Amino acid sequence: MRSLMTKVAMGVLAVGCSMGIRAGAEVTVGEEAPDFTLTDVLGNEHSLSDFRGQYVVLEWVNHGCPFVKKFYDVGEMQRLQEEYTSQGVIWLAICSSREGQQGYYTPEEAAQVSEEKGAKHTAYLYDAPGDVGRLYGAQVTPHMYVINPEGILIYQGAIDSIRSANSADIERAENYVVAALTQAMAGEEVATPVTRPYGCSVKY
Amino acid sequence: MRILLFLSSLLLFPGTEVLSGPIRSQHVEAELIAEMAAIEPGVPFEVGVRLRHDPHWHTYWVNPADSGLETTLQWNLPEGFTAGEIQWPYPERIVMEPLVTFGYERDILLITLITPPAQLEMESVELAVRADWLECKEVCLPGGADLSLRLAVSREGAVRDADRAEIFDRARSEWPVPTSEWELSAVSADGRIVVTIETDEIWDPGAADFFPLDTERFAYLPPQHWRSIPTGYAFDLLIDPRYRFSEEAFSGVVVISSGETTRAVLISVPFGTASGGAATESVSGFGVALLFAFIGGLILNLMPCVFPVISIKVMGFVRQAEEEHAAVWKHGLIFAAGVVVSFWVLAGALIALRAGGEQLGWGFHLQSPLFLSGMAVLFFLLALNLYGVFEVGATWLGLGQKATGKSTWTGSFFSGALATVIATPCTAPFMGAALGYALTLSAFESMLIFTALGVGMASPYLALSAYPRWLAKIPKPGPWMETLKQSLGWLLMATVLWLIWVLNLMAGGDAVILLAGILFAVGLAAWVLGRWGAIHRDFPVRLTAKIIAASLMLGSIVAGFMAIHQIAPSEASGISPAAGGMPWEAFSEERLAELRAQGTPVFINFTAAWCLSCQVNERVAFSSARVQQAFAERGIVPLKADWTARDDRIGRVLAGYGRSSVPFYVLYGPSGETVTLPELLTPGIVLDVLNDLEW
Repeated sequence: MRSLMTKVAMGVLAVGCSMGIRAGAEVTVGEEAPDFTLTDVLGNEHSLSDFRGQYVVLEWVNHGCPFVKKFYDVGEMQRLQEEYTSQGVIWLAICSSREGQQGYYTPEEAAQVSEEKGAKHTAYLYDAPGDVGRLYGAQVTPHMYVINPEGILIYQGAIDSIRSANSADIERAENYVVAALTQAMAGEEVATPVTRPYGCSVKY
Repeated sequence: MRILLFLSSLLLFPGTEVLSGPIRSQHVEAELIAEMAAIEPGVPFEVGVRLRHDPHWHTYWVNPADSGLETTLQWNLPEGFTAGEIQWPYPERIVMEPLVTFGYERDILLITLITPPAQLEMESVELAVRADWLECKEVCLPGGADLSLRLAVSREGAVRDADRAEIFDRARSEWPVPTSEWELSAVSADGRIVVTIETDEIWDPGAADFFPLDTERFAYLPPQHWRSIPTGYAFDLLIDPRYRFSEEAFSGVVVISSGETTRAVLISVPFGTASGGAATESVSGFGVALLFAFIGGLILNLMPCVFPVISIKVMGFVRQAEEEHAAVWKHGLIFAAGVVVSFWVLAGALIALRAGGEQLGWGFHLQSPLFLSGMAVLFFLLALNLYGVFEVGATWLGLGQKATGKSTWTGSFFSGALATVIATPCTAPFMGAALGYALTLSAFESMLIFTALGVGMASPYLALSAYPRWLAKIPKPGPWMETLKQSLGWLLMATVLWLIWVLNLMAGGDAVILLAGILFAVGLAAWVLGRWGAIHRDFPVRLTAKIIAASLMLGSIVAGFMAIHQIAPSEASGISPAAGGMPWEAFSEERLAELRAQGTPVFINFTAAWCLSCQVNERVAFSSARVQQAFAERGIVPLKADWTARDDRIGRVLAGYGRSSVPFYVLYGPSGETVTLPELLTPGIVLDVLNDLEW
């Protein structure tokens, strides 16, 4: 009640441009991906805006999650990371596990796990407060996002088309991230820009 | 015991045998069981995969929602056998903010219908299934089992296994079933879908939950705000903005729990045109709503709270009668523009705030003590001005102090704006439905509705401006105008009194004393300005007077408003029942559900202190001894929902009736029938409604 008049005043200012206000932030394909700054295992800061001009892949990760293991245990995620980073794509693995929750590691542990797994991402970023995860509406691991060189989100959702934790399914599945990057790099529209993600819940 | 039964079935049907037995993953135990001890060729039968979860571990429903994975069954059956889909029991909502999943912590049986071929030569058959699931607590693990079962074949007819049949019957009672008793429809507006269930059934809307089967449409976390409406129940769904939205029918499961029993209803919800469903009530179609809005605006002019402003405008016309036709017409247009633009500003603010999730309704600005105090100060000053205590150079109200002076264009505009602001709390008949309807539409369409309202309100003045001859009967300006002006001043003072009364109910006596202090200082300032600031005084005197008056006014208003701002709205705000009046009880959704469940007739009075129509109804209809007696005779429990201060719950309940304004009256009969009453009541109207019901 006390702040009602303030809200009314803000509301008047906001008329016309604020019709889309919603509870809970989510990003929309075709719109600019919101900027963020996170720290990697070495303590270096990375901002999304640093990578303007390059394709960026965001991979929500939790190495304790069987759906993440599905791709790391057989080397599939590492293969994708290597293939695309060698083409100049920025690949950011983001961990939004809260401290004490599954998938949360100290910087040393995280560096070690990445080393053991042979991960080839550009950086492994900490999001223990979960702010960036919530900003992007990341629900599961692995939840994937692809951003084009103009900073526009061009894909969000599942990593591939077969919803399972079984590595044997990878071969038969259509990889949506690969499809989005291939189509976008060829100057085409991304045919499947949004899919329903699958995996473990992000441990906010 | 189980072994014994198992052995006895072996004796009767030597072919029946559990091959795999229960298989445990880390936290879930799975077992394939059959209802039949023996099956008959060509006769479909049911088998089920039983999943038993360790405490707090869960597996998922067919739509797992934000994360997780639905359980899958892959059958490996003998030649000629076919398996149907899993018959899912109703799910549970598992919340781990900001994520929501749908699944099961309880033990479940996933039943599948198996159809054997008509010809079976074998003595027994082996059924095998690969079950895969994801088991989660805080963390998730994939689970799975290869389960199998051997069943005897009997050509004399299938044989039920009594022990197993009980498990199957219990599982089947958890299946969502469709009902023909519900009429469903949905309307969408601004990212929100309002689903209405028309039904005579009575249950507690607080115990209901909806689980969408459609996966890529809805956000699962936002509360669904289940509520009673006159025709049944309503709830909200938020569209997941990531996916493309279309108004295709959607389906899902409504789960209603009451005590030990849980009922699950399978529903399919079509999108109605705006005319369908309770959300739009009696208003059908956009054109009709526009017309109602126009008529509502017209009638607004006759409402008690607009009267002081009308009086000012009439004065304006008396003066304008002297001016040229073109000028009069222009004044009319500008006044109309003032009305319409202020409707836009108010409606725009309302729409934007509602889009931001506020539960506000029309008249919301009167729910602020500061706004009330501001209005009181403004009207007090206007009244002093009309008495001639002080004069302002520019006649911004379009009320020339000098009989020959020209009224200004800004004056006309502001009097239009003022009329709108003060008029909004008066919900004219028809307007309640039209406004409720307007707020369910797109922003553009609701702005059109509010425009129609503004045009309706301004139209009498436009008509008068267009045909000034109608004003010819009014006498020439003269001393009589001074008398009229001063008497109209008392109308404004009455309005001030009303605003103070509302403030008292909303913020308490301290706020009223503060406001009285402000009015005192403002009155003093006005007197100083009138006495020493008048044009015939020397310039230094005038300047000093103006400085003193301005600092008095500003200082008292700023200090006073800050003090009022500090006062929290009084907890006990509300309209105390008039002595010997209706025995009102405070409204709550729980109380309503309880009374309706008992079959007790209920009358709900949605009211607010700032709503003058409500007060008129209170005094005229509800204080009538005959009405009170009629209520008592019929055992009607009167509930009062007081919206004087902001209350999101009441806002939501009103929205459920398709309303966003008060007054609003609804009566529930003993067998669930509902009647809404008009916005303006007389004892006769209320008694007629009661008599028509014949109970």
